[in-house]
Amino acid sequence: MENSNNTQKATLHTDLSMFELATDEEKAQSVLLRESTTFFKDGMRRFIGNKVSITALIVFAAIALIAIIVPVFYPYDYETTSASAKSISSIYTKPMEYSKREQEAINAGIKVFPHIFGTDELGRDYAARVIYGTRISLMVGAVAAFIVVVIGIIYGSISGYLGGRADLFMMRIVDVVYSLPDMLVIILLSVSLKDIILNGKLAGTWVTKFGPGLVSIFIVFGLLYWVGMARLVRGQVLALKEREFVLAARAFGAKPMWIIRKHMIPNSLSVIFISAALQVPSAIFTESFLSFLGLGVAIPMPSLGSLASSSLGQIAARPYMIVIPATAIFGIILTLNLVGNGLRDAFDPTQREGGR
Amino acid sequence: MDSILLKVENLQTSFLVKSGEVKAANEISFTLKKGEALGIVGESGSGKSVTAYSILQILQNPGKIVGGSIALNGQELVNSGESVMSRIRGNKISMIFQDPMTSLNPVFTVGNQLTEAIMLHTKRRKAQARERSVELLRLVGINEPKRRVKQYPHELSGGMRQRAMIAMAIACEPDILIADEPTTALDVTVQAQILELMKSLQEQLGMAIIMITHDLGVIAGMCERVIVMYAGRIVESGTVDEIFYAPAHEYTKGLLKSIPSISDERQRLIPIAGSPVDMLSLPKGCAFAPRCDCAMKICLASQPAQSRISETHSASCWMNEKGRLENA
Amino acid sequence: MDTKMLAYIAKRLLFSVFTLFLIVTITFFLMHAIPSSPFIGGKALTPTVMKQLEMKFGLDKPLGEQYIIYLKNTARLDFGMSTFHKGRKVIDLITITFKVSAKIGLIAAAIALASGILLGSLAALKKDTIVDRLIIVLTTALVSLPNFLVAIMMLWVFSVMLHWLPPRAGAPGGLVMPIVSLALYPAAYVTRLMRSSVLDVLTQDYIRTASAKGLSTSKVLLKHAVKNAIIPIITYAGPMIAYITTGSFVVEQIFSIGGLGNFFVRAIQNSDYTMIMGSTIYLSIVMLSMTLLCDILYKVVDKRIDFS
Repeated sequence: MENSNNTQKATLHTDLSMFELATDEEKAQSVLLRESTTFFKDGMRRFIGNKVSITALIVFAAIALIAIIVPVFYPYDYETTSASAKSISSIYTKPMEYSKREQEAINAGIKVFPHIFGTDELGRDYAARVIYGTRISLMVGAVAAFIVVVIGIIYGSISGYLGGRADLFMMRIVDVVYSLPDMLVIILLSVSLKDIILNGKLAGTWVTKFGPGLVSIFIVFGLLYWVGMARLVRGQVLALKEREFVLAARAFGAKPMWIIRKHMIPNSLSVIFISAALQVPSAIFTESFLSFLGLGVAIPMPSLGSLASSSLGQIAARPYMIVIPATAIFGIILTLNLVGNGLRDAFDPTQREGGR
Repeated sequence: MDSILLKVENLQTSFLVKSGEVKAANEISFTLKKGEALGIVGESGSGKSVTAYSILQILQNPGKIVGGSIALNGQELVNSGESVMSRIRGNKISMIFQDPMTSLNPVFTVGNQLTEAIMLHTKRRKAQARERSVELLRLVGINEPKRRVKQYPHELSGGMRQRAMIAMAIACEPDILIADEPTTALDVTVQAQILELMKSLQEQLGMAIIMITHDLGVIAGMCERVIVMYAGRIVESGTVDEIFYAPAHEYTKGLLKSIPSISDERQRLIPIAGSPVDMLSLPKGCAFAPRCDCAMKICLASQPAQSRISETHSASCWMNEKGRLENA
Repeated sequence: MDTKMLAYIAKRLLFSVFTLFLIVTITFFLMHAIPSSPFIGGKALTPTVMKQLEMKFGLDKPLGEQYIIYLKNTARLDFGMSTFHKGRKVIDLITITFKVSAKIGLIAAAIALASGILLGSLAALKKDTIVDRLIIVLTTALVSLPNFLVAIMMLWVFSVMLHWLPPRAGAPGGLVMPIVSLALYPAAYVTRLMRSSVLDVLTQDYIRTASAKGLSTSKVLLKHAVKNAIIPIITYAGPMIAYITTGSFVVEQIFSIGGLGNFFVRAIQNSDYTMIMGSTIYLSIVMLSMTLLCDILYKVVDKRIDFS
C-alpha cells in the first residue's frame, strides 16, 4: 500500500530488540480500555445532556413548588368569599381589583392583598383556586401513578415468576381488562360511585369530603390502568428470570421472594420508573376530563378541569378565567411528558419512540 | 491495463458516532479484473461488508466514505453524486445479501420487485419486463416461475428467496456481482446449490464476483483471489493457493487452523484466542497483536507495513519483516 | 393457512363477545348498587316509569332472574325507555344521535390518519432537520393537550375574538372547530407513530436491497418504506376511532352538537340511568367491533411480514 500514513517502514534503523516476543502483560496494556461507566451514570449523563428535558424538569418543579408552598402563606383560600355575604349580583372582580367590602376596608386604612387573578362568581380568589386546583391535579397524578405501580409490580412479578398456567391465566385477565373501553368504564364507575357515595352508606364519611369523583378516579386507576404496568413488569421478570445471576441465586437455595426483591425488581426499576413517570400526565389528563364533565372533585374543591369547565360561560367576558387553568393543565402534562420522554431516551434506548 | 474493472484505492469509511470515529474500512486498496472472482474474508466487524456497501454507496447513517477512490472502468464513483450511483447500482454493480428472509420487501410480490429492477435500467415495458422476470426465475432454477412471480416472499422457502434475490441482481447483466455472505443464513444443503448456481451464472454472463464471507470453504470453492481483513484493514491478499498453502499473516494462519479439514481428520481445530477488537479504541500497533501468539514488542508499538511476498501475494505482518531482517 | 386465519378470527370474536358480556354484567350490577337508580326505586321516578321498569325487568323477582331478563333484553338491543326523555326508547335516541357523532368522528378520523401519515413520513425523511424538529415540537405539544382545551381555545380565538367561525355546530361552517379539535390529538399521535415506524422500516434489509437495485432515494421511500410503515398504524386506527367517539363527549357539549356523546353526558347529569346503561353498552359494541376489525385486518396484512 502506497502512502499509508500510520505505517512505519521496517528499515535498517529499526531496533532489533523490538522484534523480541511481547509478554502477555504488554499485550494486555496495548488494548486501551475505554472508560467504563455504570448503566445509571451513563443514563444520567445522557438525561442531563438533554436540554429540553432538563428545562421541562425545572419548569415542572417550579409549578409543583408553587402549588405546594404558596398556599401556606397565601392570604386567601379556595372557598372563602371576599364579597359581603349579602351581595348577590356582580361578584366577579377583575384581576388586581377589590370587592366592595375590601374597598371599604382599604379606605379605612387596612392593607388588603390584591386578587392577582380576580375572583370568581362567588367572590372567591381565583389565584387561590387555580393553585389549589394545581395541587389537586398533581396529587391525582402522583397517587394514581403510585397505585398503578404498586398493583402492576405485585401482579406482574407474581405472574412472571410463577410462569406456566398461572401466568397464562393471570395474563388472560390482563387481556380482558385491557380490552375494556377505558373512558366508558371510567365514566360509568364515576357516575355510580358518585351516587353510591353521595346517597349510600358512605355519605358523610371522609370519602364525601374528599370528593367521590376523586375517590372513583383512584378506584378506576386501581381497577383499569395497572394492566400496562403489569405486562411490563412481567416481561422484565421473564427476561431476568433466565439471567445467570438469578440461576446462581437459586442454586444457593435462595427463596423466590428474595430473588424477586433482591435481583429482579432493581433490574427492572428503570423501565418501571419511566413508565410510571409517563403515567402521571395520563392520570392528570383523565382527571381534568372527568372534572370537566362534573364527575371529578367535589364542590367547592377546585381542580384545573372543573375550573376550565365552570368558566366556559365566561369565555367572552373573562377569557383569562379559562386560559389560566388551561395553561396550567397544558404546562403540567407537557413538562411531565417531556421529562418522561427524556428519561426513556436516556435509560431505555430500546423503547425509544423514533429517536430524537 | 484495460482488463481492470474496479480499482479501489485507499478507501476510508468511517462511522462517526457520539463516542468517536469508528474506522470501519481503513486504507482499503484492491483491484478486480473482468470476470474474476475475488473473496473477502474476515470475522464479523472486520469491515468486509462496509467495504462492499462503500462500493455501492449504500452505507447506513452515520457511515460515510471519508477518503480514497473507487473507480469503475476508470470512472470515479466517490462523490460522483446520487444520479450517477443510481445508474450504477443494480445495473453495472449489483448485490445480494446475507438474509434472504428479510432482504425482499414482504409487501410486494416477487414479480413486482423483479420487474421494478428491470424497468429501472432497461427500456423494457411492463409486459416485457414481466416476461423477462419469468425468464430470470427460470434461469436461477426456480420451478414454476410463472406462478412464483405472483407470490409474496413469505410464500417462498429461504433457498428460493435467495435465488429470487440472485435473479434480481443479474437482471441487468451487471459487470460485478457483490455477494455479502450469500449462504450464511441458509441450510447446508441449500448453500452448495446457491454457490453452484452463482458459479454457473458467472461463467454464463462473464461477470466478476466479489464474495464476502467468513467461510474459507466458500472461498476455496469459488474464488481465484482472496483478501483477508481484520479490524477494518486488509492484512493479507493473494491467490487462493498462496493464502491457503503459504499464509503470511498470523491472523490468516489462525483462521486456517480454525476450520475443519476433510482431508486431515487427525488435525485438531484451534480457535483463535481472545475476542475481536473494540473498533472504538484500536490499539496503536497491529490490531491483531493482542490476540497473536507471535506478537513482538514492535507489533504493539506500530502498524506493520505491507510487504510484498510475490507478484500476487502481500501481507502486513511484522513477522515477515523479522524474517527479512534475519536473512539480511 | 386459511383455517389458521379463521381460527384466529373466531378466537378474537369470542374474546370480544366475552368482553362485551363482562361490560354488560358490570353495568347491570353497578346500576343495582346505585341507591338512586331506578332499580332500587330512588327519587323522582313517576309511578308509570316505575311500573314500566317493573314489567320490563321484573323488579319484584330475585336478582338472578332480573339479570337473565336484562341479558335477554340487551341481546336484542332493548334498553327500555329513557327516564328523562319521557316516552322515548333508549335505542331510538342512541341510533339517531350516534349517526351525528359517527359522521363527525369519521371525518375527524380520516383527517387525523391522512395528516398523521403524511407528516410522520415527512418528519422521518427529513430526520434531524428543522422540519423534523418542528413536527416533533408540535406533536409533543398536541399530545399534551386534552381535546376539550383545544375546543375551548379554538372557540375563544376563532369565534369570540376573530368572529371567523360560529360557536355552534348548527350554523354554516360550524363543524370545522369540532372536527379539528377531535382530530388534533390523534393526528399528532399518528404522526409520531408513523415517524418511528418509517425510521424503523428504513433500517430493514429490504430497503438496502431496494437502494442496491438503483432506485432513487425518493422512490425507495415512497414505494418501499411508506407502504410497510403504514401497517403498524392499522392497529392504532381502531382504538383511535374509539377515542374520537369518546372524546366527543366534551367536544359535542362545547359546540352544542346533538350527538351521542352530548346525550350521554346529559344522561349522566340528569341521572337518566337507562340511557347511561344503553349508551355504555352500545358504545362498547362500536369500540370492540372497531378494534376487532382492525386487529383482523392487521393480521391479514401482517401474514406477509411475519416470517416465523
